[in-house]
Amino acid sequence: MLDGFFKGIKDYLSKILGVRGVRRIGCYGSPNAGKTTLANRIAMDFAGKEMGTVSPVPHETREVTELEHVELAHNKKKLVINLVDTPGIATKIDFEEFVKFGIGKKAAKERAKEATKGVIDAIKWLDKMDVVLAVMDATKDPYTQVNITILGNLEARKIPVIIVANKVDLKKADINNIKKMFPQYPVIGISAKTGKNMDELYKTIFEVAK
Amino acid sequence: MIKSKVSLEFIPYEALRGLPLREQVKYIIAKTKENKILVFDSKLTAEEEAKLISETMKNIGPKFSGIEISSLSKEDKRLGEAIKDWIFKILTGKNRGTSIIGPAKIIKQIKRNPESISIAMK
Repeated sequence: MLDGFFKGIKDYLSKILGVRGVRRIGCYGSPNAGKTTLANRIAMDFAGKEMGTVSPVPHETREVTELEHVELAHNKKKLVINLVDTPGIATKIDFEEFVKFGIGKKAAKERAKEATKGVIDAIKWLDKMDVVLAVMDATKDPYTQVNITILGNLEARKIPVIIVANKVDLKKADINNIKKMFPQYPVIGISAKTGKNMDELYKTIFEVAK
Repeated sequence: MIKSKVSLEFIPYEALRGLPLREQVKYIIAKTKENKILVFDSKLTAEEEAKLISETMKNIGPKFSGIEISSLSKEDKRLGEAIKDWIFKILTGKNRGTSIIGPAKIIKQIKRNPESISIAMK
């Protein structure tokens, strides 16, 4: 709550003084939507390093990570951001799901325990964000409770959102369905894995984060 | 053979009204742990949903793997209905609609589209 208060003061002062400091941009979404792949892509493009490991096993990212002072450049403009990758938000975590991926029972239980803490931390960090990239897997039904809860909380906090429809390199991807379900938000179709359409995303980040 | 008993409870928002959010969430989680599927006659706010998810995570263990939840708001845009929505929100702080919450171990999926909710059991 206090974070939100201070963020409000910071935004107000920035507005009246006409200056923009470092913008904190976070990747949010369900597990396996491609948040870390996207964070890695942005970090590689502008900082020359990756932020986290990617895995087909859900909840690979179990801690919030922040890469500070990343200088984005697009069309001769510059924007300094702190890039935040967050654990996937879920309403259920069953260690047996991890066992199906070949993880031992003890390690799976530990992974589940860490994943629950990760979800709580991801929600706590919402208040600290200046802009959020709501990452959705474009091959799946976007109208999930997790996506709706994330967008609803951002709306309540007046935090600008860009919906990133990820995995457009796959045949099943359907960006139009996401646009139809969430017509009030900018939706950019990309492939974080191949880099497809990242320029369009960077252009939109500059527009939204200004 | 019946493996486990599942019950469906319809709960008017009035039943929780006046309780602090923490108590409301505690009540919901306690009920879902008893294998109950709860149907509320109002839509949870985004903040309530986030709080419910956070508290659910704190409760996850060998016997409780979490919840399935789906909220549907009433999207009738006729003037009369819009006024009713507004009055309902002023009086209760809630949005008119429906929320369904149940234990993940017995609900496979609550699928929703903007107009309806369907529950698939395991």
